[in-house]
Amino acid sequence: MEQKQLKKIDIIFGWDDKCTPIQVVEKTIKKTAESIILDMIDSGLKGRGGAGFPTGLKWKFTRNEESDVKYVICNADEGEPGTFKDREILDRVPEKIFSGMTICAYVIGAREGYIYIRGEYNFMLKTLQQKVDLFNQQLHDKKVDFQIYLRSGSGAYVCGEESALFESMEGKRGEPRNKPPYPTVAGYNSKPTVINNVETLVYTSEICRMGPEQFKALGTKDSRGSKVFSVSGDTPIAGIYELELGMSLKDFVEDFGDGDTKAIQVGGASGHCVPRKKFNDTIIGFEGIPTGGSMMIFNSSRSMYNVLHDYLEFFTEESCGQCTPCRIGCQQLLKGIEAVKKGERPPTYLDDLKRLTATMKIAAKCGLGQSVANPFTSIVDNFREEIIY
Amino acid sequence: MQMLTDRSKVVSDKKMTFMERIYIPAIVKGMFITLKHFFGKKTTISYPEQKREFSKVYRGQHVLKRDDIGRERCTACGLCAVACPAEAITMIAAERKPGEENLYREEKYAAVYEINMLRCIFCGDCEDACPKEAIFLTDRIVASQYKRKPFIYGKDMLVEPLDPSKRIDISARQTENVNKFKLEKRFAHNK
Amino acid sequence: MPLLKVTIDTIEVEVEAGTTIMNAARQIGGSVVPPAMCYYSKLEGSGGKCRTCLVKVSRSSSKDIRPLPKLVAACRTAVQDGMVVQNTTSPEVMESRQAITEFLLLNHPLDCPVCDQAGECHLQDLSYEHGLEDTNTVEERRTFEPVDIGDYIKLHMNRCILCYRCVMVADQLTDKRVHGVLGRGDHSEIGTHISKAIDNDFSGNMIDVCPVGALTDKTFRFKSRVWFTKPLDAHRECPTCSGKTAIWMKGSEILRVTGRKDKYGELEEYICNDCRFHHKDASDWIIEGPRAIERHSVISQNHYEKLKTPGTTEPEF
Repeated sequence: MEQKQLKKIDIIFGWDDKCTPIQVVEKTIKKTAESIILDMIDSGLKGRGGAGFPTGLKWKFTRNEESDVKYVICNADEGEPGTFKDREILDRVPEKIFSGMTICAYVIGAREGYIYIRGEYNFMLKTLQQKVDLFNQQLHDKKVDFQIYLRSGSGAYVCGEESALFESMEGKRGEPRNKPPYPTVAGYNSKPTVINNVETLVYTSEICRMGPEQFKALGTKDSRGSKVFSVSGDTPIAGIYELELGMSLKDFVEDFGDGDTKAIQVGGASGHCVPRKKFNDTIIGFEGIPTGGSMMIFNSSRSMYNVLHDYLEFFTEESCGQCTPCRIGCQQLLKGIEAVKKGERPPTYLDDLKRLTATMKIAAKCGLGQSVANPFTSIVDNFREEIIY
Repeated sequence: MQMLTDRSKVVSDKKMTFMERIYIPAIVKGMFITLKHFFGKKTTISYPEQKREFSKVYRGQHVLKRDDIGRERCTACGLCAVACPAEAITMIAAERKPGEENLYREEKYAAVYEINMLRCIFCGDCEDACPKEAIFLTDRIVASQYKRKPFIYGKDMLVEPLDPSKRIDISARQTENVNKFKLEKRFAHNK
Repeated sequence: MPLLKVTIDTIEVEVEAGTTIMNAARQIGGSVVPPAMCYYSKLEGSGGKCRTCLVKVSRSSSKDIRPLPKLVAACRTAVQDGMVVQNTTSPEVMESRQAITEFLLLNHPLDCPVCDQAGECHLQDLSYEHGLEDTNTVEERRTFEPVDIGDYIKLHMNRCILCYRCVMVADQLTDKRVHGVLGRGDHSEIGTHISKAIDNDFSGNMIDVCPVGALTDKTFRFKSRVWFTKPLDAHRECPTCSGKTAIWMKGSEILRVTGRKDKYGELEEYICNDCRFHHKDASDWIIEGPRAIERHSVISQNHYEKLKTPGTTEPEF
């Protein structure tokens, strides 16, 4: 394998026979909820879905809410193009997710937990359900008052947005809600809810297993720990890798590139496109470019116009259609770059389109519409000539 | 008192002289002026054998235009009527039925469109208000009538003939800007 | 409960806790009120979709003097004590509002001359105030054929701006909603499931809540332009609703019956279909008097009843 320079980390997929996930739960719930929250805050764990909200704080806020019913939800609606890490986690170590959820439920005082799986992963529902049943039984035997249920989505990208996910779970049209209130106050069924990414929950379980210090030792000041990356595109070694946060893109390309890397799309379709000349001073992490784990590598045989066109087609299709800037903006951007490519509009029209993305960024209701500006401006700024000609 | 203009004259009531009192020189002087006009240029013409040349933007009888393939442009939007200072225009709209697409351009059309020519002051505001380039004022003169009723012009008098050779030419009224506006795709109606 | 002090465009107002910025601004009234295309105070959960009411919060509260990082939807954001809001005084807000108007008009056809809503259309008002004079786009608009939904309502999907108000009215006023938003992203449209007809006693209110001409009254279709009709307040004994309506007359004929709308274009009371569609005879109604129409509205054009007649010029003996 060529990944010799890579610092091999095996937190997520590693398996400790002496301390299985259910034993982690057993061990952890002997501590007080406050000390678990302190551990989480101390570890510096931030949400791994992409937005990067500190997990400990999220749990603390929800714990402080007064409510008889609270929920823990695992967001496994992994719809971002180029991301496939959650699928692997769900497939290989689902028990760690369950254990993370149980710990969270213990901290905030929830009795029900849900795993929302994207519709495309339905093939694994059957085996997953068996594992959930087994885990529920173990919890029951150990007199832990918590049960986990599976919920399946129907293949909408926007349902990965937390409030749209609640709507979908409540049986409504998957559309983001107005914020505030935030999920910690009114989430699923308008009750306080913790919603975490699959990977985040696994890390919480692992932090409880090995203590916050070992996790804290990895990464940088702003981005503690490691992260699972889904590497795809023009690379000889596509796949899933757990890497330390805070590495520069240059190191990343040296390990994964095929020697002719032109650009990397960090963070999937809604992330940023980094051209070769900026590899040196771009850091993967919350201080540089935060990512949900997707790294798409493009070499010089790829047309960035096609890349952008595909992304915009994706967003046009996947916008929920609720708020004006996103619904019409995406469609207009797509038509706009097509017109520029065909020569129907002058190249300066791209600047008008960039003005539209600026509006979308400030005016759109949820993260989907706000983040369309990221790939658009980064590709148009760096690869303008490829779009014009 | 200080006068505001210098055009005022002080009226005097001095007694007329003998020559003034017999009036004959004054009569001769007046007759001479009258006679002079027999030989000058005539200011009248004998209409309708002779017609004056009109200004290009003369505002006379209205026309309701058809488009290039003979469909009525008017969609009975009522903007002409609301713009009309004399309230001379009335209309009743109707919905285009399937099969009438070659008669009317839009899904709504004016079933009745009347202009009361006695009220009309030919200001041209209706033409300015029209969003569909349907109504124009032309250089035609509204004919005189003996009764009031015929002055209410209906669609039979206003809509131009279908025959392309008998269309009313309003090209003089369409400025370069208007033509450019019509050519631009982004201003196309109902797309 | 102590009242909260909010400053909107340098005007201070005291409101109850839980009031949204929009409603606080409406208490002040005038030009500080942000426009609303989707928010409807009588519909629970409406708002937050069209993004025309975005305002800048330059001070979150008296405790937290930092500004909010993004523009917020005035219709959905609750005020805090000591909050400072900028609406028309913020160039950023005005710019984004102009851009949203441009977005809304991208798919909206320029068929105001045909549309029955012209004259009382909120999108017309919005584009008059915030729209560009010119358009930058040449792309084709998306087009649909007008469809009949039920016996009384015509749906012009071309004109729809997807404010969801009609869906919420159906949800909150009736038991069984048979129409909704279909599709996603740029395909989203209002429709009934497999062209089901909407027949409900209160379905006509969808016409009144529609901010544009997407849902129009079939009994009034192309009958007259709004500004040629005279609105009068009238009422009748109605077993299903309050019977308090506005009737729109031309001569002695009632062309249309609608609910009474306040100055923000919102219905004061919902009326039933019986009142709305089946009572077009002046003898059915007890007329209260002419409706007050804003002087700047096109509906008040050529209506002289409010003018004072000059006093007589004859000398008195």
